[in-house]
Amino acid sequence: MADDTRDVRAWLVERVATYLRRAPEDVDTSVALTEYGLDSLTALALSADLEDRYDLELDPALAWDHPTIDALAAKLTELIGARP
Amino acid sequence: MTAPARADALARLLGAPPDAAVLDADERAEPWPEGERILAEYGLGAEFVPVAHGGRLDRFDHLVEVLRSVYRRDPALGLGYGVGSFIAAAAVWTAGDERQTASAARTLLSGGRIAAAFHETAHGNDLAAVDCAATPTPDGLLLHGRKEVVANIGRAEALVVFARTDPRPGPRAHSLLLLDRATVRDATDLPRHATTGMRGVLLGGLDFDHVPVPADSVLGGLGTGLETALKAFQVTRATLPAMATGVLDTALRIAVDHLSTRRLYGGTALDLPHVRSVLAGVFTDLLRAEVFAAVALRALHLAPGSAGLYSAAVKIAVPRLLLDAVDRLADLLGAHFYLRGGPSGLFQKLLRDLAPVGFGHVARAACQSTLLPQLPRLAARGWTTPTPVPDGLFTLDGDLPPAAFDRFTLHAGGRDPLAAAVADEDRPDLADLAASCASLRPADLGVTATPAHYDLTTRYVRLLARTTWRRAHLDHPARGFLADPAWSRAALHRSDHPRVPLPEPLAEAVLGELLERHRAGRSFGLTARTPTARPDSREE
Repeated sequence: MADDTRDVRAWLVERVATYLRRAPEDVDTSVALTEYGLDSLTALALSADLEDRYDLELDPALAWDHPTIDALAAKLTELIGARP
Repeated sequence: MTAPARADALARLLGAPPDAAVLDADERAEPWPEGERILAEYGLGAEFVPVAHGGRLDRFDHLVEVLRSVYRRDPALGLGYGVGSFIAAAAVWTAGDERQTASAARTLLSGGRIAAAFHETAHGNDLAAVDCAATPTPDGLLLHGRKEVVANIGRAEALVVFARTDPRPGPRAHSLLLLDRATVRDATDLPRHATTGMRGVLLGGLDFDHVPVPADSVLGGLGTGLETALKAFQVTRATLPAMATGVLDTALRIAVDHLSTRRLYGGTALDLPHVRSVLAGVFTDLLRAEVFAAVALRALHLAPGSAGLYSAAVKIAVPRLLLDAVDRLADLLGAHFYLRGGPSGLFQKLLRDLAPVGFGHVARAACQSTLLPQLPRLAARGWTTPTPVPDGLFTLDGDLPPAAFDRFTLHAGGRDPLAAAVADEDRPDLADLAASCASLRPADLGVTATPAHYDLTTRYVRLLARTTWRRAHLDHPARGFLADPAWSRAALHRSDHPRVPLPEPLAEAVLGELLERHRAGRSFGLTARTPTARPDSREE
């Protein structure tokens, strides 16, 4: 389980770094994505990305309710674990 | 498309008001009193209430057609008597609980109004920056701050207020409140805003001074305000511009009335090839606007998970079509478009009243910001593995399931059933667009996006619109003007070559339909209704 969280978080860091044109090491996983200048409509696009990556149906507002990479990774790990 | 019988009933009630009555009210910057009386008698508020809540709203296209009966006569009456109530009510139907929806329905069914207090002058369309605060307290919430440029806020029985409920930034910091105006004490009316057009609309504001409001006034839970607004706007972004086509309908009638009686160079102005070409183009553009809107309105019922794409697209495209068209009519009318009285005196008012269709409610740029972040996913998912086209999406006369507000989503997740219907001729353009969108980074897609990136939304909207024009022609029953190949050829020509006149035989075919409708007193939009809106000239 812990491994899964690390894996999801690493993928998210890499993805968000690409989004923001930053180096992955410059992305703090405990900071809200909107504070990096990702506006609220753009943040929504992330859940569609995640749907494709993990083959899940996600709440469109996922990135609003889990605004940091840490929170998103925890939620995704839970959803992946609950998958039949 | 056929109009619901009640749209004709309302048209009969409104009758053919003399231009002077409507213009006098406009000159005084007051609502047209006789019009307000008639709408109250008709019970316009019931049009904004879904059937499930006791009203008459069953189809969004029928709501639009009823309001076109009003917009054809006086756009300020349509917006000023009630459409603001619909913006507010859409939020209640989207997120309200049983008690809240019942309360809003009672207000509207008894002839009351609900003011949509979203706006603050300082923040424009940037809802996430809204400052007016509702701070949670042990007893409820304390509302403090200003709302400005809100229609009917001074005389509404209820308010829907978009307020900050969390001081931190982010998309979960705001909530929508449904308030009974009579219980809101310690609020001061702000001075009325004077406007260039839509002068009869009473735009005001309120300054809330630490007003206690009950906790159960929150619609859909604390922090859901932006989400609810963005879902409810999917309905209003499509319906409001669609209603405004009624303004161009009447402007076109005034122009044809004038030009067909104006003697010039030994004939009428209508004999001049340039005049004929412009009129044919304007008529085509009116139908282009109505067909695109009609498909988006059907998508609200048939493809609600993707409908936000098409509503935003309509809000981007339809105002531009209407504003350009009415400007070309003004060119034809020359000095007569500038006169404030006489047989064409209503035209200058229509021109002014139409302008807010572009920026009113939600600006076009805000709609581009809705589409732009979705393009990469649409390109990667929706345009390569198409979502099936729902049955009847383009059959404008076809049945629809009842209007519902609980199935809209914040984004389409790459699902785009309209794109699946793009014609083979336009497939290369869609592939080009997909290639441009695939390389976009989210950092390119926020409100600070470059003009080149915004242009991608324009290309996307254009492809959607062309698809609706083609398919509405192909799927149309074999009667009526939409079934005529001249319609689809003219629509696509106007899209391919906006500055090149229609080829003469095509222009004459389109103009023939226009003049026949004018002679018969039928309206120029999709429903070709009779009697038409034009005061003083219609047959009843």
